[in-house]
Amino acid sequence: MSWVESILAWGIIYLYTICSILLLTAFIFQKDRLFRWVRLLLVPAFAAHAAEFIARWVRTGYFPANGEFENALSGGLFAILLTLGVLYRRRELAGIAVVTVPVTLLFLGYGIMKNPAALPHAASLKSSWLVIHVLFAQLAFGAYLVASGMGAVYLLKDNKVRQGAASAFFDKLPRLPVLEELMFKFVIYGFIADAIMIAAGSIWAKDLWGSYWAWDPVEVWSLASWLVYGISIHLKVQLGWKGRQLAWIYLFAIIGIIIAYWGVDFFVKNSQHIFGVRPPS
Amino acid sequence: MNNATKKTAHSMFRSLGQDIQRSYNYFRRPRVTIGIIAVLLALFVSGLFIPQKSLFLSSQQFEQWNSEHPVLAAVINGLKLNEIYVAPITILFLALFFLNLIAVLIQRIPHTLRRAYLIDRQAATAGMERVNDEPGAIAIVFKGMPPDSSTTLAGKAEAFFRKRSWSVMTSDGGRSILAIRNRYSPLGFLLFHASFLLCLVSGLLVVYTRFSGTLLLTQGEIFYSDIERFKVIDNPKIFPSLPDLGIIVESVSPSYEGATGTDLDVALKIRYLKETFDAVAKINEPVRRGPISILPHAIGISPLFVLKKGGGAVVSGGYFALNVLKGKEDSFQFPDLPYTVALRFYPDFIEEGGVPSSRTQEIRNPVFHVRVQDGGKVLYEGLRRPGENARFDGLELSFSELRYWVDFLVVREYGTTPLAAGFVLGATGLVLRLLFPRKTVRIRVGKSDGGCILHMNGSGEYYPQAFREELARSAADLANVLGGVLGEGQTA
Repeated sequence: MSWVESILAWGIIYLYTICSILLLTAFIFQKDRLFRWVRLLLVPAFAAHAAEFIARWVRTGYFPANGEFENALSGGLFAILLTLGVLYRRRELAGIAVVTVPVTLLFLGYGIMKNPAALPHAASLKSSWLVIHVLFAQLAFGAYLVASGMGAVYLLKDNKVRQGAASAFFDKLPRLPVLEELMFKFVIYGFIADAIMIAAGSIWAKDLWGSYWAWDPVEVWSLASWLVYGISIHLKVQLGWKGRQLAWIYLFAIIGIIIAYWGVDFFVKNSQHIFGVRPPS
Repeated sequence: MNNATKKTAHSMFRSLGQDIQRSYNYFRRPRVTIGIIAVLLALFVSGLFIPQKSLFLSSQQFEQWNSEHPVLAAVINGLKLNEIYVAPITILFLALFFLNLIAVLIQRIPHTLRRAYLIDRQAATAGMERVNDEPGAIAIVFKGMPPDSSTTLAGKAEAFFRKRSWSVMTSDGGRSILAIRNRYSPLGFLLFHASFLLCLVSGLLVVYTRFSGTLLLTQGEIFYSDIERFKVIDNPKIFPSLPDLGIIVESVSPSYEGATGTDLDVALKIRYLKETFDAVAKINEPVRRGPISILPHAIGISPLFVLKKGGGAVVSGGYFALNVLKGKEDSFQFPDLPYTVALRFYPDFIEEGGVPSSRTQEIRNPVFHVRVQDGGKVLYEGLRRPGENARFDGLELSFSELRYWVDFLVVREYGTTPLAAGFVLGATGLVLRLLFPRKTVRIRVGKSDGGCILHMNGSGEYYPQAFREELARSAADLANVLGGVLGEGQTA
């Protein structure tokens, strides 16, 4: 890791740490003025994040998706980009960052502690389909994570409404139907990106391993996570589920995506999907 | 058969028909669809927790697990849950999924086409005269406008929506307007769900016609349609014969960064049917001709080992394909001789503190660590370069030439084009249905005290809040264009 990348990486981590503390404080003590600071800090944090992403891409010459650090870098980039996109349109929705920023921080922290160095670009990763596959995977992750954040905000606000307790903090958040609709929009966005990710991945698998689908654990988790979101869309569109029911689903459905992207290698040692370079045996 | 019996039989058949119809109607309910998907989801996920044959590193490990957990293994293996993705229960639910999909599609096709193509105009414009009574309707007031100009006003409103690419239908002499945005959106539902059927058909075609096998070839070796040489992985169930195929490996150029292979170019001369051509196959870039793809997936080295008597007469020799790259140990035996030759390979030899190692993985200074055994007895052990002899038992073992071998995955299958078409169709359907939801605006122009009044209301799929905001903006624009005033409390 070059010193520029090092400074940027640690700068991002510290800024996201401060944002996470502010967000948690804002929610726990219901201090909405702290959201203003989050909005202010998130812009330079994202700029540094984007600069780190570009610096890594320029230095290595390949799309940063090789190893835990680069996956966290690109996945987090889209999550924060979408978060900022929401905040730009609706300032009162700063609360969704209470999920997206800490999750991004944890992944970046894990990546930088594991191995932030640029790994050799294995022949198996030299494919245009990899860029498409990973790009859509990270877009889907970002969108689902934002939906998960909205689910958390929805549930917190709904709890207050149910208690009948007046709260200036929660009153400033968008109305529940608006939150629900936004949450669903991000799920739709993620669902489409996820579908393209799976299709692009299977086309890449055909070139790399000779078959479109091999029931590899990562493939199975990806399909299962996609089906969970597919079921949630059916539940809303066909059976009229709404509000809290959907918010709970979206809050927890992100776990499947996290396992598919980062968790399988922990438990299964012979998955064909290695997010990085397999250490020499 | 008398009349009473006939009647009873008729009523029985009618009752049976009704039961079947009821079951069929129940089967295509959304709850059943969701239930089937949920069961499939559970089955897929259970494959991550129930030990799967394919996830054991070797068949010995699988057998060992079976012997350590006899009862559990008996249950799992008995129900074929150790191959959950092709287990009878999974196949059953996949079949139910596709049957349900077909039933739902059959039910929805006429309705969807009617909606997209606005076939039933009467039904589409029914109830337009009550728009003004609907909750949430927006009013635009045109004071001082002659009451008989309502038709002109409606014409202008119609033009307003047409200009913004809405599909427009009118009724009641042009005074009621139905404007629809994204009218073809429901077709996305058909495209997306039909794409599953296309994927199923092409997937079955791929599975049933698939031949796959590995083929190990050393540089310079000629392969020509000798099917016996394949280590077969998948045998095709239909179209068993493979087209004529010849392959010669002309050169192999791997690149490494540390221990990681970063590139592999395999230059091939290929004969497919009657055509001969040169091609380069890489990891991720198989050579394709017709339904055949040739993919290099592993390489190794094939040194030429020669065993001579002390006097120089050749006893045995040949190229031996060895899996010794990246520090692995491999061995070979000369035919009909008792010696086992175990080898470690240092492609770019260096000795650090008396320990042999390799600077890189590229073959720059090749050295073998040779150990010759006869049974358990070690006859020779030492480091040998090209041209150097290892002497034992009155014999001399030398290696004089190094070639690469390449293990190719050769696949022949049909149905990949429709499968790709299925992916494209599915993605198109999803985008059409979910990103371009159908929106409907209903407008009624009528008389009011001292002028005309326009009422508008509507609905949008999936995102009603966003639609209400859009409707309010459209109403403000329309009022502005037509010179009206939004009714009280109805500002954008």
